[in-house]
Amino acid sequence: MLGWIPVRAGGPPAPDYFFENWLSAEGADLSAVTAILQTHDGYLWLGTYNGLVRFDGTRFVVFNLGGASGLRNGRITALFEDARHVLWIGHETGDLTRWEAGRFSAEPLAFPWVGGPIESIKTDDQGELWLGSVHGGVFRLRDGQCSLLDVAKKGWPVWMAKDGAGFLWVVSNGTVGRIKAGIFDQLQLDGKGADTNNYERVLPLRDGGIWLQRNGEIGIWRHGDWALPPRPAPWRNDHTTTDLLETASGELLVGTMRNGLFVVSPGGEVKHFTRSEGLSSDQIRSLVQDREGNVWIGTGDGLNAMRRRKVQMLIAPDSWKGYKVLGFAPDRDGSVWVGTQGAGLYHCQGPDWTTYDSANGLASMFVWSLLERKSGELLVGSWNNGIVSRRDGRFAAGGELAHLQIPAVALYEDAQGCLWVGTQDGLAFFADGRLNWVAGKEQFKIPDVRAIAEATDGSIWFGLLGGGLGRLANGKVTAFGKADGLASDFVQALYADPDGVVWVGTTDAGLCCRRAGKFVRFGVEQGIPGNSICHIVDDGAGNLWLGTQHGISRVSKRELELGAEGGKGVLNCLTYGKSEGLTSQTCSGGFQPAACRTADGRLWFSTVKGIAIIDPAQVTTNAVPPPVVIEEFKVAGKPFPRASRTGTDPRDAPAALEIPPGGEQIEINWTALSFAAPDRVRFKYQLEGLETRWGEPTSQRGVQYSYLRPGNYVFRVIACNNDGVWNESGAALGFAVLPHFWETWWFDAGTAIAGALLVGGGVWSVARRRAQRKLQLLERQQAVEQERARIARDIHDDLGASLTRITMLSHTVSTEFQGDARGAAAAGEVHRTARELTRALDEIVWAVDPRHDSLDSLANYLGGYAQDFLSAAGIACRLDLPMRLPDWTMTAEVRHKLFLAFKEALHNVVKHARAREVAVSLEFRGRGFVVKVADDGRGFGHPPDAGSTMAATPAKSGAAGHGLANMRNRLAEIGGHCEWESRPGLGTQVRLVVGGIGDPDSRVSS
Amino acid sequence: MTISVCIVEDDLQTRKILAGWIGTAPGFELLGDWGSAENALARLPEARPDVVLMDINLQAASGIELVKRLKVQLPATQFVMVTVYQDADHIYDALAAGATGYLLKEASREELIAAVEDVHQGGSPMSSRIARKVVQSFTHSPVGIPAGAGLSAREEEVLGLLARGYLIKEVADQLKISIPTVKTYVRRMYEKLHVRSRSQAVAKYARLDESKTNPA
Repeated sequence: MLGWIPVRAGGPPAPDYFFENWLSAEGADLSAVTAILQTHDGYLWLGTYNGLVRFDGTRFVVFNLGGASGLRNGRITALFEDARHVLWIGHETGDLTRWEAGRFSAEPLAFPWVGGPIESIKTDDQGELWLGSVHGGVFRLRDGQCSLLDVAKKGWPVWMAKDGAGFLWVVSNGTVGRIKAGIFDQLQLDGKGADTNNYERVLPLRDGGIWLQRNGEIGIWRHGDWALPPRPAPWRNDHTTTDLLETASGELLVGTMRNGLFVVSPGGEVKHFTRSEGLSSDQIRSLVQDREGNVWIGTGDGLNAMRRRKVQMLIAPDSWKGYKVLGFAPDRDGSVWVGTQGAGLYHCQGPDWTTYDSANGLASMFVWSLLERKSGELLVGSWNNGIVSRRDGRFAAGGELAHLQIPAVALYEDAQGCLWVGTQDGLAFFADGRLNWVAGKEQFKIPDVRAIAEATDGSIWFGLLGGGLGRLANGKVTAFGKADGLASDFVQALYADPDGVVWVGTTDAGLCCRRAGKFVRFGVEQGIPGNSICHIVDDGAGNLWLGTQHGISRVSKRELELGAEGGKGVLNCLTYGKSEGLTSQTCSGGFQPAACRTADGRLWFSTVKGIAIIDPAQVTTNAVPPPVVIEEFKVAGKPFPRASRTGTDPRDAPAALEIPPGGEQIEINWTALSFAAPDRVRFKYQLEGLETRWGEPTSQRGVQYSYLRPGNYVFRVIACNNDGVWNESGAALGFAVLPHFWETWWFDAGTAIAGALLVGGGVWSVARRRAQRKLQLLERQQAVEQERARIARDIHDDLGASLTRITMLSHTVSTEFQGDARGAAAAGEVHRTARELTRALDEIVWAVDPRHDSLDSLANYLGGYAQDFLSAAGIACRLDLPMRLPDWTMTAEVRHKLFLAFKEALHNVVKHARAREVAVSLEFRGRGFVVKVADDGRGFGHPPDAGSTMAATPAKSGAAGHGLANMRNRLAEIGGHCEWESRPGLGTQVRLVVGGIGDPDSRVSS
Repeated sequence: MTISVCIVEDDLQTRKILAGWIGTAPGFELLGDWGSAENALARLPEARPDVVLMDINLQAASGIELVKRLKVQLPATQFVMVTVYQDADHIYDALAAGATGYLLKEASREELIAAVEDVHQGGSPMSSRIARKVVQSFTHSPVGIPAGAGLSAREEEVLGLLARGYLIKEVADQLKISIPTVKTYVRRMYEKLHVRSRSQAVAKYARLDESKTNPA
């Protein structure tokens, strides 16, 4: 290293890095981040002037005064973790706190400790703890006693740093050296005479060199010689170096008090970052690199992550006046044309930008598609002002193209140089100044062409928004839609692979590929980050890059191929988002060209905020599997005490927790400590004892389980980092749910009836709760369903067996009371009651069991009930229930309430109608259905409003009216209503109306 | 002529009561009663009863699975499923597996005896719930169904009425045929259902391709 490559003051932002900022949020006061530390378990700890903050990449947890944890002093200036995983916290007041096993305790410091803000805390090679005070002096803390380092003088600035061998380096009193066996061992630079230089900073380097700052100059001393002879520091106008860091890749980071951050590359190049480059403040307080290589910067105002930029953004200086970016065209002269939705056309030539709109030759402010033809001509397609061409620096109308009055948003030049134009009215090719239409309304219901691609066989494929996919081959147009297996009719991107595969991007169903005449879909479930695919670009190295609404993803074609051949498993997508430099994760789609690969191999994508450029050859991945921590275990909403735990001890093996009976709801929260792109960390979890398989990957960091049956459980969670690297061992927590006392004896036959009533009550509360609190998490729903199935099974197996015995025994007994009428009657009563109870349980089992959550099961059950009930009353039952019913989910709540209302209607018929026949039917109405119960009985003598159809008002006629009110209430509870029609002598018809269940299109008729 | 009966029921007390009812009924002979699927599998084939009363839910193995395996060995034996609840899905599965009758456990002794006699004489019960399931099954035309396993016009008529809530007696009145005839139709439908479900299983096992098989 010969010298500094000077800082370009005022130059454009250094492109290699950008900063992600966290300002005060979520109750964490990040107005001054004075210290940062990554503990052995992976958490980042931040010292602030308002408490200690723990960060996992997504959530800040604040430990402040007055909390249960017992932190007594909120102003923090230094953090350090020793080899025994004790976290030491230095305060501005000169106090010291230790955090161990989840508790804070004050560590008293006595004379000769000088007090004043604790500048740094470190251990030496022997594990002894040393403190540096802003007031000067270096102190050893041993067995509660302080002692002053021999050379150190109070009043002189202090600096401490550790080297790779564990030695503690100290600058004190203007001299530099390391502590060896508890004694200061001064660094002898020149070997002769007294060193009169005033040393200010020291940083031992990985290669054995020592970075020194003395007299305002910087130098590197290595193996007894100057590797870099001292020279003025680039930040010479700010001598207050606040922190130093050597990164794993050998860069030196220097934080300053007022002048931001300096980065010195191993080659000596110096870059300077300030607020203009995105830092949240120019006052740097602390620097740390985590195990994944992310650099964290604590400033006088906020926390910053310094990210290596993997995506270059091309953004106009005026940020496109706030309008969305649409099509673009990289010109062969190195300039770039960009169209916008409202701000006209931009032309970027290096640092110079030109804007075109109606003032200088462009008719439309809405520039959707841009295409540079092989001839060098630039075509500019607008929403409804036609297509103009630019040649020799001027815009000109080109034949019929300029007169198109419809949106022309897809432009494509095929291998022969023929120009294809996709419009909202169909597809045309342009030749001899004329448009020749080849596909339109005749072939497609919605002929809105958004994408065009030529396959290797010369056929032209085109994608339509709403119209599916079209192919033009040998002058014939073939249409493909959902009926042909295409995932969606809304197509917005196409790519025809040279190997014959056609890739289709849809707006709502992910990616689709057509090979050998068949379509195969890849959606979010297969690991694609979003279901709206705006761009498909081939990097020429076996990967497709997909522009989505959730970033830009790389997926290997080989993996897609395996998936298409029926292979299971989730695709490994490498996704670029905000953490890689995308200003917006939302890609722009629905026009063409929208993405491309330039001759230099770089990939270009249109996003709403600008053009994203990725060099696929520069892809690096994060290979560090993320540590997983189970942070919280709650029972019935309250944290459940776990065995004493530091939160930092890996030996914290799953220790069984015992949960008392009645702990209805268990909540488990976890996190993974990966900071490269925390929003892309994924988890899989499983509750052994309830679930036999891992769930699907999720970004969720918590789950709730309800109504776990007594038994032993182990909760396991694993996580992968942003690049899909899994920590397969993850974290685990064992616990046991203890049984209720009655759960141990309720099988006893003698108490079966009491048990049945108990369970019946509990069962309904499960069903009711399920519908009332809309369960947010699918997992929880599954848990409840499993629980419902279990309850149904228990009632079925255990109570059913006991009841059967009672039914049969009482029947046998009643027939054996020969001559004893009273005994026979009593036994007969037991028999009758037991039969009734069996039927009641039958209804409960049906309602609770999630297997019956369908309209078909409901219809079948209602029909069967009507037949049994009416035949017992001597009334004929006629059913008109469609044989094929739509696949609508009917919750236990809806089924139960509807069933009760239905029962009420039948009871009314039997009690009051004097009917001979009852017709039960089910018909569809809107997004729901109607169950009709019509009898041929005497009708109502005094109907509320004779002869009319109405959403019933309370009927006046006694018992029937009461029943009607009941039915109305039942249906109102499930968002339905009840209609009623009756004429004296002509019977009564009751209609139970349930709405808002399904999609009317999904109806299947019988 | 006596009707020989076996009972497979895992609840000991229920089994004893059932055994008592059958054993003391005139014209009935109890050949054996077992509490587990293993014992039933081992002993039933040699006992060769006319009728088996089979608990639909046996611990460990389901009665449905047991019927599926035993019906092949004992084609002449009628299996009557005994169930606590009217779960149409389970009963239908048992019928498709080869059972020809079903009975609720709340039935009285008289109802039980009548049901066994009915099944022995070639009749079968069918509620509207089961009828609906059978209709749904026959309107599907899955692969591998042999010709002749479809319903005749008359059978379809009977099935349609049953699915619309007609009782067996009402069907007989409506079609002007006798009650035993209706029951025989029902029995035949169950037999076809069994053939269909078995051939479907075979087709699946033999990996018959849709394209290679003519829908019957």
